[in-house]
Amino acid sequence: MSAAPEDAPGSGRIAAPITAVESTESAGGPLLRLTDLVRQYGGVKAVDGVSFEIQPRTITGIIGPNGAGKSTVLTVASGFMPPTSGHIEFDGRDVTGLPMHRRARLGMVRTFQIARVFEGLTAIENLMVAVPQQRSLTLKGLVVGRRYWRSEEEEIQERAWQLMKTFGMADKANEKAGRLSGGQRRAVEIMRALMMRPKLLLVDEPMAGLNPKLTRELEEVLMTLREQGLSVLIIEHELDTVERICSEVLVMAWGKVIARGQMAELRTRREVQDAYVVG
Amino acid sequence: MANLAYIVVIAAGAYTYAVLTIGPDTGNGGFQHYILGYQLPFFAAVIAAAAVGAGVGVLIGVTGLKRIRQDYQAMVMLVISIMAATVIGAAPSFLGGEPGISLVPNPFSNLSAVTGAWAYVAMVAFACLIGYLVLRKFTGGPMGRALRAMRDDEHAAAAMGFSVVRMRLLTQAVGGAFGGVSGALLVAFIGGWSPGAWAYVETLALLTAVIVGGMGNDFGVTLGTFVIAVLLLQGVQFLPQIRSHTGLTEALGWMVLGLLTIGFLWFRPQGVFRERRPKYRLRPDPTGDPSSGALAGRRG
Repeated sequence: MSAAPEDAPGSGRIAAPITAVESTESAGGPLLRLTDLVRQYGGVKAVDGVSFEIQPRTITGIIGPNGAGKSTVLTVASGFMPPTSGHIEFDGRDVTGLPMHRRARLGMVRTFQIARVFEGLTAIENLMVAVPQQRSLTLKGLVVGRRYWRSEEEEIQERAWQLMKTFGMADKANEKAGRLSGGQRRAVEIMRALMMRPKLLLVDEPMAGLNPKLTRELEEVLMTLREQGLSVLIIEHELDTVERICSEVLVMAWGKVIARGQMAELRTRREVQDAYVVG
Repeated sequence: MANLAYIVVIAAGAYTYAVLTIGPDTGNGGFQHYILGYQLPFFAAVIAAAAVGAGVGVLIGVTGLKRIRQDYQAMVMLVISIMAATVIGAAPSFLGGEPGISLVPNPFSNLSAVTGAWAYVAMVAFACLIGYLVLRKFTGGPMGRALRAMRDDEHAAAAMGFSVVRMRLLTQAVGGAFGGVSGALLVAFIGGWSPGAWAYVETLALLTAVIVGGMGNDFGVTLGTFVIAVLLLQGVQFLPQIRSHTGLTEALGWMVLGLLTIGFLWFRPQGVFRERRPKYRLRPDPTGDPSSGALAGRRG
């Protein structure tokens, strides 16, 4: 996917603070803990005994060659697919058996490698729908009607507008998402995830297809959000991005984590270079 | 996902109404056989038909929960529809078997034929109006938004915290209840019901109505139903029959239906009335700070 430079969510305002994040209150422990995670496809172990932790208010990167199992880790962690074996703890709670929508409600929200928007809805509706436990979706909301949920709906709309403005996409708000460009869809997907006020954002190559200016703006957004209490697990090919925003980086190859540390240091490590060359 | 077994919930409602109002099958010389055979009042039977329709709808929905591709799910639905008609037809003492159930009572049978028919039209029109208003609660507003999101991408909806299973079964239950009521109203008017009345192609007629009218547009679907299901399929019986080819006019109705489906899918897949979404407007804040504007939604 590629996005033309002008097709932008970019207006230079992307770095403005976003209010939509809850601070994490997990009592000192890690926010996410994966233990001996294994995921098999047929006879192939796409993920082969991965263990790591993510601390609150950090941005953790996963890098590695194609087929290393990066996306599978994220997919299994988010609950999209069950692990073959291993455990996943989120915010002090074992979530291994929980379906994806339950994990999302706990505050672990993912985006997809290829942005998935609700094409029949407008851009701003894509954001407004991403509040699953809204009053309007309850039985009482259906029976009593608008007066039961109007004020909440207005609050949701206000937050959606704030995000749209922050990402410089307010003029696209009423455009059907199916008509947006690749870069704009990606922005919609990330804004939609932020509407849920996540504690942990799992993002799979969010910079792919974005132009360099936009990439830098998205980096700024992620770092701003981290300061407001968000944690991010990011799969990214662009190592400069990883170096700028990630406090810790995991290197994966052949389904395993082969190295971890800070990007600047990892660049010099032999096994990392080998993995990229051989893998 | 298109529910290609929708006629089954209509049939379930029709049978429910029939066996709850017709009385025991020993009546009329015992020429037909069916279960239950109560003589409940009209409205009680219609409500029961709605409940049975909802239940059958949920059962059909459960088969669609398995994570298989949507085109395979459509096939499963079609097969369910064919199987249901075959099974009911093969069990003569359950719901009348292949000949079906006849002499189902009409609530206005004490009126004269013409007055009774018009009274029935008025009642059905009223039921349609109520149904439309109830359905708007699901298709409009935030609920409609959530359901449309799920229709567009179930995985993304689940990633946003929506229980796809719950919402799917909810739509199946609501759709099933509507189908059940429509079956009850239909059978109380025509007086008889058999597997031949609910062949799987009937679902395709309803689907054509949705495609032509405009998927996702309440008004379009209503109009499509009226034009396709009422005028095209029922209207053809008022055309002069060609004596050498009996049944040709009905067959022509179905052929036109098929052509309409193909034609619309090719040239205007969004239907006559396209799906419309509300427009939202950013109202400038009176303090002059455009970044904290008070907001107003406007239906577009």
